[in-house]
Amino acid sequence: MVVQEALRNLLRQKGRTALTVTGIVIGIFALTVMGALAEKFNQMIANGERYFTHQISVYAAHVNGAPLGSNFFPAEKVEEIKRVPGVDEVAPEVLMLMEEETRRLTLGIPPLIHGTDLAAVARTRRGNQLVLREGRMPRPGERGWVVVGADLAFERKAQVGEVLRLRGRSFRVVGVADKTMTGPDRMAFVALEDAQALLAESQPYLRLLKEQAEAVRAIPDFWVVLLPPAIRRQLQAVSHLPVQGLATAASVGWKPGEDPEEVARRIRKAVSGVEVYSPAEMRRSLRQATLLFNLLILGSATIALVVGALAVINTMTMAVLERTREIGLKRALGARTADVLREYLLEAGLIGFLGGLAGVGSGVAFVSALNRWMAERGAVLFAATPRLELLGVVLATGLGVAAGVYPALRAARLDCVQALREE
Amino acid sequence: MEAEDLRKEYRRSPAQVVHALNGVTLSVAEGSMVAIVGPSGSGKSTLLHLLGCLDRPTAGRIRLLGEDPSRLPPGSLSDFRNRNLGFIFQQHYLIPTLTAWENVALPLRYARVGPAAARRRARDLLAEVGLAERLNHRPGELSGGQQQRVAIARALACDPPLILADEPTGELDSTTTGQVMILLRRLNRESGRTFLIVTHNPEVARACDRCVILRDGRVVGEEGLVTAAGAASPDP
Ligand SMILES: Nc1ncnc2c1ncn2[C@@H]1O[C@H](COP(=O)(O)OP(=O)(O)OP(=O)(O)O)[C@@H](O)[C@H]1O
Ligand SMILES: [Mg+2]
Repeated sequence: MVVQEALRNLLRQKGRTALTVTGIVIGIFALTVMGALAEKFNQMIANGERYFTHQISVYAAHVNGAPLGSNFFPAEKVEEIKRVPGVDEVAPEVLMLMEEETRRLTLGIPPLIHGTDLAAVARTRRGNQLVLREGRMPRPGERGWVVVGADLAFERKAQVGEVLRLRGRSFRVVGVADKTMTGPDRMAFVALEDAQALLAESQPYLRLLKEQAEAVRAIPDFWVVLLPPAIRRQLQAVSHLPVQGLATAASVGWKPGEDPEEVARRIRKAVSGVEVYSPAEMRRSLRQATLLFNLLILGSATIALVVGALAVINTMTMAVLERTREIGLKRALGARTADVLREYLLEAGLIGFLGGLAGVGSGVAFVSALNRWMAERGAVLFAATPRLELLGVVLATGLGVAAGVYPALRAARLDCVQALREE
Repeated sequence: MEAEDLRKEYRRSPAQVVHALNGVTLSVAEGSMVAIVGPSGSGKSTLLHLLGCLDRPTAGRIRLLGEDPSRLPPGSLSDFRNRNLGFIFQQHYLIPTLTAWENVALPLRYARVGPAAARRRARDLLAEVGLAERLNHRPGELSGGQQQRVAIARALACDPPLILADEPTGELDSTTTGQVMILLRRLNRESGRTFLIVTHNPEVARACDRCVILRDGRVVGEEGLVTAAGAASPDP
């Protein structure tokens, strides 16, 4: 009955209530949409953490402004890393964009080609390997295969046994990975050698080197024999340039009993031209990213909610002024100050609750529509998690109640006789 | 119910003090029906508010049902009112968003009576005042006399021994006033409740057992008889 009365009270001034509720709806809508973005991001980061913290990650030293895949190190680096004490297994990897400099704006993680020896990576990560939803893992030494990430498989409608074209080459789909909620979902895993070939083709500089080497090899031997020794040596060097064993990154495993942090430090000291991330560093940088993102979203949502709170304060104060005599009457009939306080807090909370429901509802509707639309374009950006929905409604209700405190106190503290005399 | 030398001052500023009540002594027998009359501004409402424990006197003593309300802890005054006092104000003192039965059940809400029991009680009371058919009507859908009967039913909700009414027929026509008075009289006779009715209407006053006349915050007479005190201080 008390709740009914509060509802009817809200309907007394329908326009005013609608405006106030709208204020909250906007705030909670913003919170839901931004929160869903943050939740998706958090999920990715959390999964990334699981994925990246079982290895020491080594990347080719970054050249400013260079796109992904244009920093690489030669095969000798892998050997150098292997010689560092404490290092167990080194799995060289080639990470490159699936499409050359994307023309359209991509949101989220862009699709990547990941050339690697999956078996070796599984060993460096101590079993934290890719799980397949369908198909099989590649056989050792096999070429021309591709294991497709879950989202990518959806986008490209790739199925086991079919052919997937990557950068102009055809690959046979042998497996589809399970969803990881992070990077691998949009990756195409191929044999390291295949990726290295793609890498060599993709870089104008590497292409040039390769062509030169081929041209040099095409020179008939009897010609070479006739050349001066100095030039002969140069040509030989060119023909053996290491365009084949390149890698952009390496996944490094450590020997049992070794501290990965210490091993990472040793690699950093011993090997030049690479960037090394230990599991802890990876975790820290991932967490930093989440924290900043969450703060940003929290901040913007707070501003929206403060506006909503002010609207509630205003509305409830007006309601109390309008109902002064009613409050005096209730006091005469035996209502304690706490009763009056409770009734007005309830009403304010109800405004918040209704605003919260509508805000979360519209936010979730908006986000899932956007997700459906984006899924066809390959990026699911939002995750409207149950805890986010709950937070939205609880926060809005709490906000309403909090904003109702001042007007409700005013109501509860009204002088009874004064209020009754009110015309 | 007794009041002894009740005084109430409203201090608007140190220089301007309104003496709303100037020493009222009054004794009302249990089960009687007493009218309080007097010109506008004579302090009738003020007296009712003090006797109804809605306000505290500046000086003087009140005894209600053997208790001194000024000695009750401040927090329990609401409960005391809820249990022992019924109020009837002018007709627009119903809550417009609540139906007839919900208005009647309001004191029961504050007495922590469950909704089902409150509804039953409200229905019985409305039947008693002849409004069995109007349970779910809002005040706006009722006539002035019907609204006042709802207010009377509400005053009876917690079965209080004392009912205080401030101009209960103030906005009613004479026929309706007559009906309301017949109802109040019946309630007084049947249940032995004490009624104190502030009124401007001589008819209402005549229907009561006793009539106390107030002027300038003083009791100046009873049953139309001007006492010596009143005669000694004629109107300026
Ligand atoms: N809050 C207040 N501040 C100052 N003066 C007040 C206040 N409340 C009442 N008064 C004064 O107290 C006096 C008595 O008022 P009260 O309302 O009791 O009169 P009343 O007999 O009920 O009059 P009416 O018949 O018009 O209702 C009046 O002079 C009034 O102006
Ligand atoms: Mg009055």
